[in-house]
This record gives sequence, structure tokens and C-alpha cells, in this order.
Amino acid sequence: MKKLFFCLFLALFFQNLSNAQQNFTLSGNIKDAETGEDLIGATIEIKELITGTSANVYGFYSITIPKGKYHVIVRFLGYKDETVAIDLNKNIDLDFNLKSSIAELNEVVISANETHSEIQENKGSVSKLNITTIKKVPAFMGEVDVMRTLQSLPGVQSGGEGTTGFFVRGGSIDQNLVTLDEATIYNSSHLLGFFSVFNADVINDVEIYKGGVPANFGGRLSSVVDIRLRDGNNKNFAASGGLGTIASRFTVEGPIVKNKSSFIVSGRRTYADLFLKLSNNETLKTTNIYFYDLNGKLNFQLGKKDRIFISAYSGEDLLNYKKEIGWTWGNTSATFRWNHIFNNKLFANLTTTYSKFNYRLNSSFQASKYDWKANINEYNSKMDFTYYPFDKHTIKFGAFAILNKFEPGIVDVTNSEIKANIELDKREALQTGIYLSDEAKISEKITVNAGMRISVQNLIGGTAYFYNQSNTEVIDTIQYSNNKLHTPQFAFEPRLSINYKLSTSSAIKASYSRMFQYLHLVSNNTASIPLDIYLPSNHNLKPQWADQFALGYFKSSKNNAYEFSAEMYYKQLNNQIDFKDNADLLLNNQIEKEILIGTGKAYGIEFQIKKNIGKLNGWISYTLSRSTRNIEGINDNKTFLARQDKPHVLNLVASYQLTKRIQIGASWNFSSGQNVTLPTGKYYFGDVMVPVYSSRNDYRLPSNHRLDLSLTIDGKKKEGSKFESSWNISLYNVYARKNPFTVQIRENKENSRQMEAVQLSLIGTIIPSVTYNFKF
Amino acid sequence: MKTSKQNFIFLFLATLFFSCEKTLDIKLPEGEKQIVVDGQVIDKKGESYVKLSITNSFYSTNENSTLSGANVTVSDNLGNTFQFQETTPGMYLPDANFEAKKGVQYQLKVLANNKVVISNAIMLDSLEHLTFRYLRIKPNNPILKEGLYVYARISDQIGVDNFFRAEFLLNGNKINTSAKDLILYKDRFFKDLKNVEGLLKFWDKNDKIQIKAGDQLTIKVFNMSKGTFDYYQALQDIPNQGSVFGKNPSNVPSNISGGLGLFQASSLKKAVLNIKE
Repeated sequence: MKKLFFCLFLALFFQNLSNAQQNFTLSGNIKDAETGEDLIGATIEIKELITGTSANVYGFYSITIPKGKYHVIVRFLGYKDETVAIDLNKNIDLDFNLKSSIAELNEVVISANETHSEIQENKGSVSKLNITTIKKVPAFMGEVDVMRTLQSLPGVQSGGEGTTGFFVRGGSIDQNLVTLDEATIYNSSHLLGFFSVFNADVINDVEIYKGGVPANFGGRLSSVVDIRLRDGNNKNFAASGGLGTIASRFTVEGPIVKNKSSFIVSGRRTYADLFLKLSNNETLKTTNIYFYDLNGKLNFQLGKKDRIFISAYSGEDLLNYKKEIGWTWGNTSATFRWNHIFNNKLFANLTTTYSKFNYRLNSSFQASKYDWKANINEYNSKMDFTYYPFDKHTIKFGAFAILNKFEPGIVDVTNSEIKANIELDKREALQTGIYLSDEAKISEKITVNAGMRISVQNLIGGTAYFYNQSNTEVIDTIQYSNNKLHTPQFAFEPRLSINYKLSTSSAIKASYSRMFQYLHLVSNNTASIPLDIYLPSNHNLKPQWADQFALGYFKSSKNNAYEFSAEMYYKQLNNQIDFKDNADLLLNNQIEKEILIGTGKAYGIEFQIKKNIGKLNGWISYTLSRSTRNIEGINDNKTFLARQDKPHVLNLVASYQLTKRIQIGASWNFSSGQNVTLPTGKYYFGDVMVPVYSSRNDYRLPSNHRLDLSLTIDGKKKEGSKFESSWNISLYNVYARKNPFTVQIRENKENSRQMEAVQLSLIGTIIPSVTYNFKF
Repeated sequence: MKTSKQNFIFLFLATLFFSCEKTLDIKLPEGEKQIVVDGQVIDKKGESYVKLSITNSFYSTNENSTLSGANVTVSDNLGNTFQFQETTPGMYLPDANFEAKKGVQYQLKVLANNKVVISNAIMLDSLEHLTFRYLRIKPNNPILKEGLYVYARISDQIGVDNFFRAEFLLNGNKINTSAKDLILYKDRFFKDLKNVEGLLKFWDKNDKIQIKAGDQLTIKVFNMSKGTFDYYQALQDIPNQGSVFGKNPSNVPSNISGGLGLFQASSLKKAVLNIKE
């Protein structure tokens, strides 16, 4: 397999070497004319050659074509096309500044004259969400939510009502890599999942890879969610914000040096706690609950060839109950990036990121105090190069190093006599690796992207436990010195995707990817709660890995006004973890004793129809899928359905421009109910009722469905004034569906010998909200 | 303890987000009937017994279906076999003088309904270095909440993981019998401590059980194996199974081969506190 990839790679690389001398390179940046923001993914088309390329995540493009006179057309969704005539007889640097099409037009016209087509791109299993699209989807309590919108895409499933945890193509929650300006966000939810940590006001672009993942991404099995922050307006100062039912937001941005550097600072905070303080009820008065997010970014253009970005994020949730229980958790991340254009063919990017996820649980009752702190830290450095060597090739290569530090628990227990400090084993892991990929246009019709990612993880210092054969007792331990690298584990990840263009408006895309994941999330809770325990792979726990095959048909019609896609996938997951019955996971140094290992399978077919332009636009997506696990020691070693196995998922998302100033949004989603385990018998041990289970996840809860609506009314814009405002009224769960969240068995309150199964719905009612947004 | 705190927070959030409950009408298939053992051999006379029953369907409102007419024996690795006789339906008792011995391995064998059920357990050290006291706190105490506190002082066995379960009898009647009342303690992190006192149980003024002057409070503390402890801990977790912060539902880890339930060999420390004002 590896040899095959190597040969393929060489073949692609040298294919066009002979005629390289005739070619010149056209390169530059594509930006928003008003704000200077990069237009990620804007397309460049060479009209005469019916070929083109697209801008990378920094707005940079480069295309090498034969000498000649051409018309270059630049396009981006929501912007006016720009056409330039060029005489390419030398390498040319050419920047484009596109003007927004919506701002300039007085009549009701939605979207661009012509949109960028997914057919051209060599990307199957990838969805891109523009922030304008995300903002059109009705939001829970008026808070525009990137993660929730992602869950309406085919193949992406919600972790449950009100949660932002998600499953991609049958994988688990921890198999999604979520990055904010390339820094990993370990827990992307606020308020136990009702909101996500991403403030939509500062987001530029969101892209999700469900399969066919390019070699420059890795580290998780099921998906990569790449979220990019805006750089800030480098031409004019601007402020925007919103006053909402649950939270308020404010963003300021502007140039530091006009056209050269910019800043953006944004904050969001909820204010339920301020109302609780006014309550007469002592319990409510002493209860505190809030979350906040702070984002900041600086962007410097240093001459023509260098750009520096510094961005940071910090957010926290706090829950305090009667001064007795306190719970806080939050993410912190920072990114430093340096883009350098060596020449019109070589683009380089140095990125250093830091991410931290921490949580703390404390309680004080009488004279007893309990304080538990835990965190996970990630230091990541990578050097990425994009090389456009000759016509029809884009080569990406780079190297990376990721240091993870895990502090699973520092616990202080104090009571009248005991004062104990318990510190669980800290773990450190260093991952290093390289990757190489080439996207080659083999012919008019065929584009191939072949790549390879190679990495190794070493543990650093710490204690290694060796267990007996039945994995129940420690038979040996090794204490490694602090900086000792040990227990190397290797990953070879070949990636391949092929785009076969059937016509200018239809294509078949196929991909194969092998993904490795050195991290394991240890949790056997019903819901995803922020008391996450992450473990690096070690000699007891091998890295997770998966092979995924995907094949899809993509069709666009009427100048890309409509897009249709159908895609099948098959995924084999290995080294999947589950837990022994009644596993003891908290404050346990020898947690491997509680873990069982097995395999998984996920397959399905996804359909999507999208309407991109016109008064009415949106999409319908349907996914038919299956996800199973086979874990030795669970369900009598027989295959069982994964919790996230939801065979039918249907999403409808639509927005309609009623008048120039009024827009209506709607989304309806349906999914099969969740699988749960229910008892087949019971007995009493003393006075305790003991349920007897026979098989895992063999009962399906009723299906989930919900309709959300929103109405946006734009304020009248005064001539010559920069001030813009809008009111957003949203209704969540319009017909008050009581979607099941969990099912619990318990004794009937009146007759304790009568057992009952009780379904809990988190949001069983309609939730209206009003948000006022402004911009000046 | 922690789970209940999480549940507090959850309840609060649930109220905030208008959660609601609904009893489901689910037809559940009835699993195979199995023999259930609740057996213990204890290092004190009159404390050992084996109770046998049969599993019921989940929705059945019947008490345990007791299992009568079984042949119940307990043998040890010293070559002794003790016959347990059925005294009331489903309850099998040994000779009145029977007491389990430290370090000895016991095997339970039950023959019933043409099935054989077997389980093994090793008797652990007894807990002689355990003393108890109580403290009655009157209203308006600046530091401690009003109520009755029972403390246990232990001089621990260093380097050994110990697992305990405490049981209370008020004037001879068991008072902590439900899953949430189980009092379990493990000293995984405190094994290096010597001579420490911990709060064993607290009854506040709103508790259903009120302990008055003149009452006799019997405390039984069992020193048990990790397996036995795990069984009780799983019992304690049952009410939370499947709840938002609870563990995924799973069977309680039984040490009975061919059946369900628990057979334990545990040592017992018993003390009586005469409650005054």
C-alpha cells in the first residue's frame, strides 16, 4: 500500500515537468474591499483555459499557466465578480479587492451573480459554512451557533437535545478535532452544551472535513472542524454588537496602520446571574451561573511578503450552588502565525498554538472541603509549506510537534482532622511528524490529491503500569525520569482523493483516508459533561485508527443555483474503548484496568440538495446510516449498536427574504431516537432494587424532531450614516416537542415496588427570544 | 456524594430550561429466571446467612420470589463443610456457633432447581482498632449545622487498601436500607494516614429518622474485599443509572457463578452508642 502511494506520488509530481518552461505564475491575495478581510476559498478562473484555483485560508492564491493573454474572473459568495484582462508574459503579482454585492444593491437580490461551485473543488466529504449562512439559521435563545448549524449538515449528528457535542459519520464525540485559528478547542460547549464557545461575530469561515481529510490535518478519527477568526477591518474603525435574551456581545475592530494592520476584540457574557441576585429566594440569590467568551486578534502586513497574526481566546463557565458547590470549566487558546511568501510559487506558514482546557469542582459542607482541579494543555508548533511548482500541481508539505500535558486531578480534601492532597499521575506525550501531499490535475477531467502523514508519539517521564493478563491487577510499575522519552507509537496515514469531472456541472469524487488518534476520552456518562478525562496512548492503550472510504456524486444546475450531492461512506474503526460494567473512572491512576477495547463499523449514505441563490435559499439533507461496536467483554462479545446509531436523520434549513428589510428563517430536524439499555428483569438485594440487563443498547427511544423559526427585521438605514441595526425574534421548538434526552428506571413514587421507565426531556417547551443587533 | 452534587446542579439547570419528565410505556422482554444469592459469612456468631431468591420481571410488583428447598453448603480451605439449614422460606442459616475465620477461603455451593451456583470469598482482617463517638449539635451553633453526628476513629492498616461498609440499627431496627443510604468508604488515598477520625453519618433536623435521648444506636462496620465493595458501590449507583450525569446502565458485578447477587466473607466491628441529651 505504501509503495503504491509513493509511486503514484512520483508519477503525479513528474508528469508535467517537461513543459514547465513555457509557464508563468499569477499569484496574490483576495480580500474584501471594505474591510480588508481575507476571502477564504474565493475562486480564480482563467476564462480561456476553463481552469482555475481557489484562495487558501489566508486569502492567498497562485496558479501557473502557459504564457498568453487571458481574462481572469474572481468570484466569492456574496461578492461582485471581478474580471481582469492580463497579458501573462512574466510572473505576475495581482491582488483582488472584491466588493460586497448585497451592500451596493438597492433591489432585493440575494447572493452573488454566480456562486462558487463545489464541483470544481477536489473535495468530497467536506462542507464549508459561510458566516452569513450560519447567521440565517434560527438560533437557540438568539445566540448564533456555529456548532449547532454544523449539526444540520448531512453526516453530522447532534449529541442530543441542547448539546453541542456531535458525532460525525458514526464516530464518537472525542473523534472530532475542533480548532479555532488552528488551536485545538477541547470542549466547545457552554452551559453543559446549550451554547457553543464560538462567538459568531468574530468568525470568518467554518469548514468541516468528514472524510477525505487532506494530509495536513490529523490527530482525530472522524472529523476536522476548522474555524477561522476574522482579522479585523484594516480600513476603518467599526463596532458591532447585540443585546440578547440570555447574553450580550460587543466587538470593536479597526486598523492599527491603515491597510497594513488591524485588530479585533470581542466579548460575550450571559447575565442570568444578575437577575438571580435580585431574587428574594435565598437559594436563587446565592446561586451563580454564567459564561463568557473573549476573543482578540492582531494582524500585521509586514511588506508584500510577510504577515503576522496573533489571536487569543478565553472563555469560562461558572456554576455556584448555595455557596456549597462550585463548578467552573473553560478553554484558553492562543495562536501565533507567520505567513511568508518566498516567491510566487512557495507560500509558508509557521503556526504556534497553545490550548488549555481546565475544570474545577469544589464543595464545602460543614467543616469538610473538597476541591478538585484538572486540566489538559497542548503546545503545538507546525511549519506548513504550499508549493505551486508547475501547472496543475499544488504541493503541501510540513512538519509538526505537539506536546500534551495532562493533569487529571489535583484534589484537596479538608475536614476537621484530615488534610489530604491527592495528586493523580500527570502524563505527558510528545507527538512529532511530517506530511506531504500533491493535488494534481491529471487531465481536464481528473484531479487527484495523494498524501501521506507520518507521526510518532512518545510519552515523557511518568509511571507506566503493567497489568496481569485479565487486566485486573498491577504486576509491575516503571517510574521513568522526568524528561525520558519512552513507549514510541507510530502512525502512517495514507490519504487519497480523486475528482472525476463528468461535465462542467457534475463530478464523481472518491476518497480513502486512514486516520490515527493518540488521544482517548474516558467517559462512561450518559451525557457529555465537562469532567473529561483524556488519556494519551500507552503500552496498554494503543492509538485509535480508522480507514474510511467515500464515494459521491455531485451535481450543480442553473449556474450553481442548485447543488445536489449523494455520498456513501464506509468506516472501520479500531482500538475503540469502552468500559467494564460499573467502571470506576474518577480519581483512578490505573484507569486502564477499567477499559475494554474493540472495533467499530460505520456506514451510510448522505444526500443534500442546496439552493444557493434567490429569495428562498437553504438546504435539505438526509442521512441513512449505521454505527456498530464490537467490544470484548460487552454484550456477550456480540456486536451492538453504538449509542450514536441513528439510522434516519433529516434536516431542512431555509431562509426567505420577504421584503428588502424582512427575512424569515426556519429549520426543522428529525432523527431516529437514541439507543438505550433497558432491564429485562430485577431482584432485590436487601431493600435495593437491582435491575438485570441482558443486552446493550437494544431499545430505541422515540424519535427527535423540532422546528425553529426566526424573523429578522433590519432597521432603516439613514443616508450617509454608518449605523445599521436589526431585530431578531426567534422561536425555538415551535410546537413544543418533548424530545427524549435520557431514560431512567426508578421506583414509582406511590408504590415503591412498581418500577417505571421515565423519559427526561431537557427542553419540552417553546422558547422565544429577542435579540437586538447593531453595527456602526 | 459527587453525583448528588452534580444532580443538584443539573436540577437547577433543568428548571432553568423547562425540562420535563414522562413515564414511558415500554414493553420489555422478560429475561431468563436466575438464582439470586445474598450470602455472608462473618467473623461473629449469629451474623452469617444465605438468602436465596429468583429474579422477577422488571415490572412485577412482587417481592423477591424466595427460593426454598435448596441444598446450601459453605466449605473452607481447611477441609470443613458447614450445612446451612432453611429456617424461613429462602433464608438459610448455619449452626449457631459458626463464625468465619481470618485468612480462610470460603466456598458457597447451592444446589437448586437442577442448577449449581458457586461462589468464593476470602475472609479479611478484623477491624479491632475502630472507635465511635457521637456529637449532638444544638440550634444556632456558629460552626456546625444542627443535628446528630457520628464519627469513626480508625488506626489504619498502612499500605493496604481497605474497604468498609457501615450499617446502623436504631433500637435494633436497620435504618439505612435504601441504595442512597448505603455508607461506603475506601481509603485508597488515605492509606498512609494513622489515627484519623471521619464523619460516618449525619442526621439533620429535617431527617425522617430522628434520634432521641434514650435511643440505642448500634453501629456495624464491615471490612470487606474490593469485589464486595464494588458490588455495594454499584448498588449505590443504581438510582443514577441512565440519568444525565449517571453512568451508562450496566449489570451489578456479581461474584456468583451461575447466578446473581453477592457472597461475601467480611469481618465485623460492632458498637453500641447510648444516646443521651
